[in-house]
Amino acid sequence: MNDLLAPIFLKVARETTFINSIDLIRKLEKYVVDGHLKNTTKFITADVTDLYTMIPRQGALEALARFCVKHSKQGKVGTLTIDHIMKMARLILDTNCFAYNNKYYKQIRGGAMGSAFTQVLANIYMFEWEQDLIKYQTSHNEIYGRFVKNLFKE
Amino acid sequence: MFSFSCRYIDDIFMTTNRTIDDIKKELDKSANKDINIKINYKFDISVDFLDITITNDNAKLRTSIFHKPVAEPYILPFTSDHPRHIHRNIPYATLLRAARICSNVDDFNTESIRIDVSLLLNNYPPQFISKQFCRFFKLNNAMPVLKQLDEQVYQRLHRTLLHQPTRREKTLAKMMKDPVDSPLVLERKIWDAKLIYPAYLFESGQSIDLPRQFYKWWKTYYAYSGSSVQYVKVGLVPNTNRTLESFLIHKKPPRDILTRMDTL
Repeated sequence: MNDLLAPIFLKVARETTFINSIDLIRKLEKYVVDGHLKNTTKFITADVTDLYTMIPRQGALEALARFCVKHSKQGKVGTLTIDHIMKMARLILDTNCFAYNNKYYKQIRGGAMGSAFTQVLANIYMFEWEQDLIKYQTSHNEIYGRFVKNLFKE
Repeated sequence: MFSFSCRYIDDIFMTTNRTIDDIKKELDKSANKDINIKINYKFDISVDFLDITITNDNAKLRTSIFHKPVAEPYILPFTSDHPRHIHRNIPYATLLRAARICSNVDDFNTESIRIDVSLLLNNYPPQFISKQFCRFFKLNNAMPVLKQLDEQVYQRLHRTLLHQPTRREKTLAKMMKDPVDSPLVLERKIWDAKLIYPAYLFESGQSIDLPRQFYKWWKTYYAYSGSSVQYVKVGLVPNTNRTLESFLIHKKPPRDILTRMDTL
């Protein structure tokens, strides 16, 4: 699922994602060349608290559905229909169980920290959230970017 | 010291020429629109972000490597039982990263001293280090940087390396080519009968000569001229010994707890 959705996400959000710090330095150097760095320019860093485990399931699935509808072609990604993708997404979120101290537990909120799918799902959810900031920044010729870590295993 | 201070996908970076009040209003608006997303932000003319320090030095951009205060100078010890090319690659790769990130030659110099000391602390022989440092500057046509910290040559080196695509970017470019019509992950992998990558357990000592002997043996007895495998390419892949970490840490619960369904 991650390898299916992450390339689409990255293509759509490429302008506002950093895949590493080198990527950011390139954007900053362009910002300088374009004459936007003044001696009063400030840099802002922000972090989102506990993103993975905070994502609401329903909200994230709805964001995923909107994302698929918008970016698929004739309702399909490759040979898979949006319906297939949504079913798989629910399956991943609903079957996240673990054993601890001889007891079984099922996660009911957010996604599993280590799961590749949680990453791309959180990215898609965040992408909707950040649209206002992106618009604000681009209208003032400023940089907005979010760091996206290891989208694919190599 | 070489560790990246990367966290998850929750790090945001922005630039601004607006007033503090304006941008605060905008950020708070975003912070309040979804109760699930809470953000902490700060702004300054100099910030640490991921593994870099970014400074606005009187309208001049300065970037350098950021080291977490708790980072220790640990790298793969020279005495570790790894194929030698891995040790050779470390000085090269760390210098490459420093040259890409540091925007001025003095920061780069500080960084290369740091690299040098870390290598020494991990038992890399001085001669080995000098040789690998030389290799880096020679291959990138930047000997004047090594010899007299030439600022102009450094600027060229920094720019060239910064704009060279990294290995990850090449992989990403391949995956992003046509992700909706023909996703790479759904494509069938075609088996290439002309390539074999047998793995073997690497150990320095008696078997250090194994690859050479293997290729000789392969050529003599299998890939001799006229043989059906004459044009098959063979590349030996050295596997390293299990680390203590993989030996001692078991993440997966034992089989009986996974199959004992009656306690549910």
